[in-house]
Amino acid sequence: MRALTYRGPNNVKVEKKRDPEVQHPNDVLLKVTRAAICGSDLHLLHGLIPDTRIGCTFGHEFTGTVVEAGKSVTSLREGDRVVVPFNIACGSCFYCVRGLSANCENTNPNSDMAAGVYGYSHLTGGYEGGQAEYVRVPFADVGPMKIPDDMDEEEVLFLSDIFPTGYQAAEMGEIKGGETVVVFGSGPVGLFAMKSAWLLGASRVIAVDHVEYRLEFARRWAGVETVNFKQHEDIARFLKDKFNGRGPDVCIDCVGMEAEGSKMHSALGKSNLEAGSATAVAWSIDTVRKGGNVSIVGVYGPPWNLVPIGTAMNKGLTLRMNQCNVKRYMPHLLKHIREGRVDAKGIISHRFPLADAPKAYDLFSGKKDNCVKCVLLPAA
Amino acid sequence: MDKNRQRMDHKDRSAHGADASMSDRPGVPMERPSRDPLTPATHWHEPERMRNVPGVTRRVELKQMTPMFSTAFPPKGLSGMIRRKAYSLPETHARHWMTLLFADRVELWEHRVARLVKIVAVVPVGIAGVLLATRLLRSRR
Repeated sequence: MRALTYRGPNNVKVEKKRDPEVQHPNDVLLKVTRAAICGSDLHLLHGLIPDTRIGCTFGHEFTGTVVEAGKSVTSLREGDRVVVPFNIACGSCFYCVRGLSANCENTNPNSDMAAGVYGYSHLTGGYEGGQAEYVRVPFADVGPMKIPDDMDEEEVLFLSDIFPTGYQAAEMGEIKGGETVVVFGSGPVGLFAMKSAWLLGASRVIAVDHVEYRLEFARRWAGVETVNFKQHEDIARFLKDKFNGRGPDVCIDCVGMEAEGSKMHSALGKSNLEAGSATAVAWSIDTVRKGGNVSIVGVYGPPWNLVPIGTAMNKGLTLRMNQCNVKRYMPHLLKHIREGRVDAKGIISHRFPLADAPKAYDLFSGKKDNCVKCVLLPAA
Repeated sequence: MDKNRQRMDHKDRSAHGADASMSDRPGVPMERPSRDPLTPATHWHEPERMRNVPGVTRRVELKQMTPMFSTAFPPKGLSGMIRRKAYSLPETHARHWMTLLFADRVELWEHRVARLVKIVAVVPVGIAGVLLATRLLRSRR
């Protein structure tokens, strides 16, 4: 089969690889129909996630059609169209029965930090990703959700990661109705966090970024106010002033380890003295009002970051974070898409055949051509 | 954009506050009170284990392999040896992470050297081919 392969930092190619095989009775093999490039794939591309082995295939947001099922699979059969959560969960361990499928303890032998994830380095188990013609899906009776017959792949593709992640981010902000929310990052996850903040009843939502076309998209697609942090010397103070000098009730970090805005964090991050640049989480802590909530879904690699934890403690903040427990959110968010409250497909700005995946990475990474979200079409 | 107008826009689409009630939120409470399997189709209490495959890395704290794992890209070469060393160190130690990052850099150089060797091997064959073709063409004239 053809698949995107990692060839070292900033270098990916589409090459021939061995087809995946059923290795466990509860595996299925999928013919991939859509595979999106996630902002967190760029951390892999840039060589920031430890144990990203040369030759591996990225891709944890995908849909596909079942072409082979293991002998213990009961809920899927050949020909079923499915969307797959990015995390691989057993469904029955200590964490899964509590609904914390992102923390499953049965799918990642390499780290206690996270469950298995498709195409996201050996740190999350070393599973091959979906930016390929075929992919192996373990625990097929747990993760995949059948795509309703009246819906197409692109309508539900983002239930695999970014919509549930954005929703969980807003939910962890504990918005009860009437809260003010600042979202750092206007990328795809940030956009869904903004939409979700409205769904939960926020009274005011402000997006912070420095990429003008993304801020413009956030105004149009998510109906939020926007702030370009490059136009303000002290962004935390500027945002506090917008909320009577106190700051918003909730700050959401949808940026993660490649944040711009602080020369110190950028320099430390690039030289691996901290695990990427922790600017957005520092701004969230500085900006939010005392007693407020900071929600973190931006990806930070191990092992350490410079985070102003003393400020958080003295301000009495609640910090909440996790990888998204995708499976819990899929049916609920599918309803929002079906009922027209969220146009998930509307954020797709570019589509490429699999052969052009390196070009798609270049475009997305460089924020060229007003790129918001790239989707690969392996069958094209 | 005027903030009241924004709110109205969302109200028009019945989106604003659609999930205002805590009971409508899939992730509240954070830990599900029931201890049922995650999906009805989870038909096991303990998942069946994959057949052991030699060479797959696992962290030192694990007594046995997780029931599910990936067999893609077992460590090999010098970087593989360094990775195995990293996984023999607890992940709570900075040395574990530093060793993994070092292995990544070593693998990159292994990859570059391997490519260079390929190129070096191919170039003489190419030159010989061109020389042979030129001689053949000349001898036909």
